[in-house]
Parts: sequence; structure tokens; C-alpha cells
Amino acid sequence: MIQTFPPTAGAAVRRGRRLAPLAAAAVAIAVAATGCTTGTATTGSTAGQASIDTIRTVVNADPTSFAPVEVRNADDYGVNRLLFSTLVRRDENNKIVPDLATKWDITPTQGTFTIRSGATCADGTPITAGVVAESLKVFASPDSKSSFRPLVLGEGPATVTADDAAGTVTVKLAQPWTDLLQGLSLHATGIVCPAGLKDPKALTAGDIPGAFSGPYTLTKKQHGVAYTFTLRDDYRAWPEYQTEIAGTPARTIEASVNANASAVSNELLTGTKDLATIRGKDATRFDGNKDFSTQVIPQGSLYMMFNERPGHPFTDLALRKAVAQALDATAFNQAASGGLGELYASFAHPGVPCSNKDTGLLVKSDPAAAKATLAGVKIRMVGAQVFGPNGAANTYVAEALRSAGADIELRNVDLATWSTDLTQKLDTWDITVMGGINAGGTMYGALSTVIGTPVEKGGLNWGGLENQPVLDLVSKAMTQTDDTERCGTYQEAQKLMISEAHVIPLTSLPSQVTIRSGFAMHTMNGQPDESTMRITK
Amino acid sequence: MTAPSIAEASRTPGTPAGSAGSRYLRHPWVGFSLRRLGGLLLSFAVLVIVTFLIVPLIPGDPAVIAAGEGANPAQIAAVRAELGLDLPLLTQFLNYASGVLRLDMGASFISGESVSALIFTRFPFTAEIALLAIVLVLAIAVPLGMTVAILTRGGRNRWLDAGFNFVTSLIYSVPQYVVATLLVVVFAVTLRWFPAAGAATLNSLVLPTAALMLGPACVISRIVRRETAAVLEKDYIRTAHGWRLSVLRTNARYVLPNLVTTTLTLSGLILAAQLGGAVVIETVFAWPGLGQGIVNAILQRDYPVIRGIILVLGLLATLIIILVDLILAIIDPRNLGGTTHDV
Repeated sequence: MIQTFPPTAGAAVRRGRRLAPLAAAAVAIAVAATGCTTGTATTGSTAGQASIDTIRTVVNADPTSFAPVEVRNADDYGVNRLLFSTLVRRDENNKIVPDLATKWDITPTQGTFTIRSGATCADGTPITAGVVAESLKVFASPDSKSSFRPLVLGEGPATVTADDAAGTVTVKLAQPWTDLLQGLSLHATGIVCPAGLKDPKALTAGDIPGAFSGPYTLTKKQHGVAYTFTLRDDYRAWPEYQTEIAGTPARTIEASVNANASAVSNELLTGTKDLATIRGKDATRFDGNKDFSTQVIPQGSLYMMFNERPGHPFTDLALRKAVAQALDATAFNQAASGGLGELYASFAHPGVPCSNKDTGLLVKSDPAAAKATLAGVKIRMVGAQVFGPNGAANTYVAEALRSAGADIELRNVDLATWSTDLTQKLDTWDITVMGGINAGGTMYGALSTVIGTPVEKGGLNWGGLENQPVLDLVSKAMTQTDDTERCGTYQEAQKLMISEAHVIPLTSLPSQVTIRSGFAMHTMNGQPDESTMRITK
Repeated sequence: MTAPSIAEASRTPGTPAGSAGSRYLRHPWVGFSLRRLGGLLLSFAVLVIVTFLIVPLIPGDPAVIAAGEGANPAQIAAVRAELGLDLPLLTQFLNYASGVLRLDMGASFISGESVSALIFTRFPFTAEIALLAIVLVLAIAVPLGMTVAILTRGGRNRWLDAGFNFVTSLIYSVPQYVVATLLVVVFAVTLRWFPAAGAATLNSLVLPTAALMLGPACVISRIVRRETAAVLEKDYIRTAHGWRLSVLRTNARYVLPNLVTTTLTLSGLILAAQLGGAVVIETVFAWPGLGQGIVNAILQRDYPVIRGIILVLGLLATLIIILVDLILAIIDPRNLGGTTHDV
């Protein structure tokens, strides 16, 4: 009889019998779980082609807020472009064109905007002058959470008033600020409808459909997974670009969350995404691929920045110039982006109005001359790993300075540590590669991290040198309404900054807008505008 | 006169009333349960303390990140106060610990969303590939290991033995991210059979699950092969053969059950490891589970999310190991008194 076998065998038999339902349960749970997360609507062998009314794209990270005054990063900007309209928009060549405002009257201290008739919020509320003013008052408030407020309105107080009868909104400034018009094209000034202003917390979470003034509403959000935007049937208030945007706005935009550039590229190449911005070497995977159109855009600009606080070596002009001499911008570009970037003559990218294009202002590369000055100089460098693969741009700079005889100590750290060190641990660094995003796209925006009130005194200046002569020039430019005059003043300011090597312009911080054939998205003045995504097939 | 209670009725005549409780306390299941419960509580306490203490050791100020690009020091200070980062460390810990006890792990520093909700969104994705992987590991590794052991018994089919050892060693020795990348290159980018990333469709599961299961399948199949080979040499197996039972019946009824303890124990450990170790796979495949969540949270210094995910993964690992112990105790009560697999 089998029962005569050793107890272990008998017990084992019983185990097997008892395990059967457990195993079945495990399989059932696993199979059931598959239905919990992934969708069931496959669209081809590799989830192949989208339906004709949908654009499938990617955001690098979850939007941090759906409230325009709280936007913090590029993904926030893109999402806000879909959901909120602004008074004006930037077109190619930095021309300001109508969005909610059809015309405007600008002086250095005031702007009056005529609001278009017929525009509505997503809940049908008419967008009147009063609605616009209430939204802008939140942005202009001294307690404003927006880091863009000083770029748009200057540091002083601002008042916003509405005249509903005339259909106008007036913004009055305490000091001349000729960046006002351009500033009001920024995503951070997006008009929030009354339903959103009533509940700021729900607005931040994107939970109030009636808050949206833009072409899309947020219809589904799954944190860390995907966000779905749906085109409003009643939306007619498209910006009046100089050239009409070709194609059809997608009825649905599906944006999945994916920060891995390689994975995003794979998704584009295998047909599961239609459009994405790719950073780093993965961008080159689309070279020569006829199924995609690509456009390299400046995500920002890369330049050397010094800690010019007393006691640090780079208060010395000769040392700063020697650093500039030790570097080769082309070699830096290779390290930073595999040569994808563009060499710059300014710390502001060429799309910024009045950006310097004169390479004659730059300190010329001369490694031999650098050696004479830098030999034995102790330098502490902190660099962000995001600049080049594992911070290759920082490594290049460190090695170039080491070749010039400097005793350099490089800390290659992640973005969070880098920004913390530069703004809070001021005695731990002397030099860094700066990545200026300058989302505002203004010259003041580009200058604000290197001139003015230092961070330790409550300002935005990371470098520490207030640089009064340049500040005076900025103040002068802010009173000049004539573009040529203003650019002349800004050119003087850039000359001081560059020729005295307070900054050493290097290259763009490139990314590549990659679009499958049959789809389109326009870049306005070098910056992608997500509300211009279209289906063209 | 009232009816006797069940306890009184069941009491052995002449036995003092107090000894019934003692008997219950001496019951193997009571001791087993108390040991596991104690282990669970200890693990929970350690996890709460450790998750609180280690996260601020990551360099970088979360307030700087949360305040965003271009924020001035006043805005950063306001964010720091809003996030409670300016409070004394002890106060922060008490807030955290009391929140955990109320199942409230706070809100994300970055998005302001509830950490519990974020974990609730991401957990099914991780659980999905981890469970599928472990089911597939068992479904493939156990029959494979047994088959190889049977076919190579007594030194037969040495080529199969060598081939099996070579292939399983090779696959297991390749780092998981390399396996994942190869799967993407071959089956997504080149052949286009499966999506390269994301979780949009059902077939998105295939590649991440495959990447997650290949290594463990190799390990378990090798262990099953070795265990099977040992069982096949036992007297009762020879007896079974003597009874002229079919090979299938012998192996299914007398070999397989003897592999249960080892296989189940290992599977529990592997499943626990899969939950926490899915970071690489989820990053390669942009799979929106807890692994990807914790990577993003670390990069953004999102303390509450980092703590919440580590805490949940730690607790799950503990619970899985307890569950395995429980199953082993049910199928073989001798495990009740053992100290193996203690939490």
C-alpha cells in the first residue's frame, strides 16, 4: 500500500492536495490583476496606429500643478498651454499675436487689453474683462506663488482693473517694465475661470473642468501613468498666429508619463507614440528616418557661472578670463550633447529678444595662455549630472581646467543636490556649468541668475555679484519702448557680462521635437507650443 | 440553573478552570501566531523609524525642488514651512508616525496628492507583473527542473545536464537590465511583436514580465532539479517504482509534493524581492509601478512618497514571508514549532 511509505511522502501528498486551491487562487489573482491596470483595447500588433482623432504623446513627469500661477517645470508649461488661454501669444520671430486680447495699448508702466468677445470657459461662463482681471489679480498679488511674477511685472506692486462696458483690462505697474507684453504671453499668466478661482486646491489638482479657458479640458488623470485631454466642442478662441496652423486639432491628447528618453524613443519607433521631445543621444536614433520629422530646439543655454562672492577665487577678472581661455566650446558641445547643440555667443538663447550674436565679445580659447594664470589655483566645481551623459559636460570642463594646471575638485551630483548647493551652500563651490532654462524668454530672465540681489539676501542671483552697472542698464532698457534702442542697451549689458567673463557662453541645451509623419506641433520662437499639436494626415 | 458554557462543557472533568487557558496558550498555532505577529509589529516599527531617518540623508533640499525653477529664497522658505520641513526633527517624526498609524502617509511634496492614493494607483502595476512573473516562474521552473532531473538520473543524458546548467547559469548571470534591454531590442524594436514601453495595452505585460521572471526561473529550476534528484534516490521512490506505478503518477504524487517546501519558500522570497526589485524593469519599460515611483520620488526629493513606498514594500515583503510560513504550516504542521523563516 502506498500508505506504508515514509510519513514525509504521505504529508507531501496532502500538501499537494492542499496547495491546489492555493495555486489556483494565485493564478486567478494574477490573471485578475492583469485586468486591473492595463487596457484591453489593443490597437494592432504593437498597439500600432492611433485612431485618427488622437495624438499620443509623453510628459517626463507628472504635472506638479494645474494652476497656472504654480507652474514649475517644462511639463507643467506644456499641460497649461492645453488648458488655459493667455491674453497674448508669441509667434515666430517673437511677434506678439492676439489670444484672448484682440488689441492692446502698451506704455512702460501700463498695458490696456481689449478682450475678445465670444470666448467662454469650459463650463460656458463668458470670459469677460472682469473674469480676466480676477485671474490676473491672483498672479499679480504680492503673495503670488508664481516665480514668473517678477519677470512679467517687475519687482514692484501692480494693479489690475477691468472695464466690462469697454471690454478692457488694464495692468498698471509701479516701475517701468517693458517686458509686460511679452510676459503676458507666458503660461504662468493663463486665465483661470471663476470656477477655478473659487477653489484653489481643486484647481491645483486639476479637478475643476470649469476652470479651464483653453482649448482642452483634463478628462482623466492617473498619477504616474497618463493624462487625457479632450478638445472642447465649443472652443473657437484660437490664437491668431501670423500663419494659420495647418491640420486638425486632436479630439483627444493622451500623454503618458515617461522620463526615460530611450523608452520614449522606442515607443516612437515602434508606433505607440506620435510625438515627443527627446533629450540626449537617443535623439540621433531618428537621423535619416523618413517616418519622422525632427527639430532641435534650445531647451535652454549652457554657460559657465562663477561664485563671485568675496573670498572666492573668481572675483579675480584674470582668473575668470583664464577659465574662458582654457575651454573650447566645440569640445564642450560634444561632451554636453554629442554635438547636437548650437554654439552660443550669449547666455540668453538666440530666440530671446536682443540676444547677442557677436562672437567677437567672447574671450577667445587659448589654453596656453590659460596655463600661465590657472597653474596651481584651487577650484571647487559642482556640476549637475543632467548636463551630458552622467555630467560629461562638467567632466570636460574639469579636465580642461586640470590640463591648464588648476587643482580642481569636481562634484558631479544630481539636479536636486546641485541646485541646493548653489543656492544654499554658498561656500562649497567656486564654479559651475549653468543650465539657464529662461522659460520667460526675456533678457531679464536670462540675467536674473547672474545679476541683482544675491540668493542669500532674498534675490535670484546665484553668482552673488550684484553688478550695479549691468543693473542700471537693465533699468534703462525697461523704460525703452523702441526695440532698437532697447536692444542697444541690452547689448551693452551683455558686453559687460561676457567680455569681463562674469559668464562664459558655451552652447544650447538641446532637445529634439520628434514627430511621426501625419502629425505636427509648432515651435514658437524656438519653444514648443503644445496647443499647436495637430493631426495632418 | 444556567447552561454550562462551551469552555466549561469542554473542560476535562477534574481539571482546574485556569488550565484551559494555559492549554490554549500552549497550542502550537497560538505560539506560531504570536511569534509572527510579534515579528510583524517589530518589522513595522523598524520600518517606520528607518524610513523616517534615512530619507533626509539624501543630499538636496526638497523645498528647493518643490518651489521650482526661479523661486526666490522667500518662496523656498514658504514652501519649506508649508511642507513642515522647518519643524524640529522629533515633531516631524511624531507627525509622520501618527499619520502612518492613521493610514495617512501625508501628501506628495511635488503634486500635493495623497501618498496613499499615489501608492494605490501604482501598486496594482507592480503587483501585476510580480504576480504574473512568479506564477510563470513556478509553471516553467518546476516541470523543467523535474524533467531534467528525471532524464539525467543516474548519469544519463550528460549533454542535457551540461546544457541545462550552461543555459540557466548564463541567463541568470546576465544582469536584469541587460535582459530587459535585449528583450526590447529584439521583440519590440526589431520584430515589433510587443510594445516597447508603457502599460497601455494587455500585451504591454509580456516583456516586463519576461524580464522579471527569466532569472528566478533559472534559479528555481536548478534547485528543483537538485531536490528532485535527491528525492529520486529515496527508498520510497524505489518502492513506488517497484509497485510499477507510472512515471507520471510517481512523480506527480511522490516527488512533486516533496519539493513544495523548498519551492514555496524560495518563491515567497523571490516574490518579495520582485516587488522591491522591479525598479530596473519598471524604468526600462516605463512601467508605472512602485519601482518607477520611488525613482522619481528620490530624484525629486519627495520625502513622503519615498517613505510611503519603502514602508509599503517592506510591509508587503514581511507579509508575504508570513503568508508562506502560514501555508507551510497548514500543509505540514511540523513547521508550526520551527524557527525557520521567522520574520
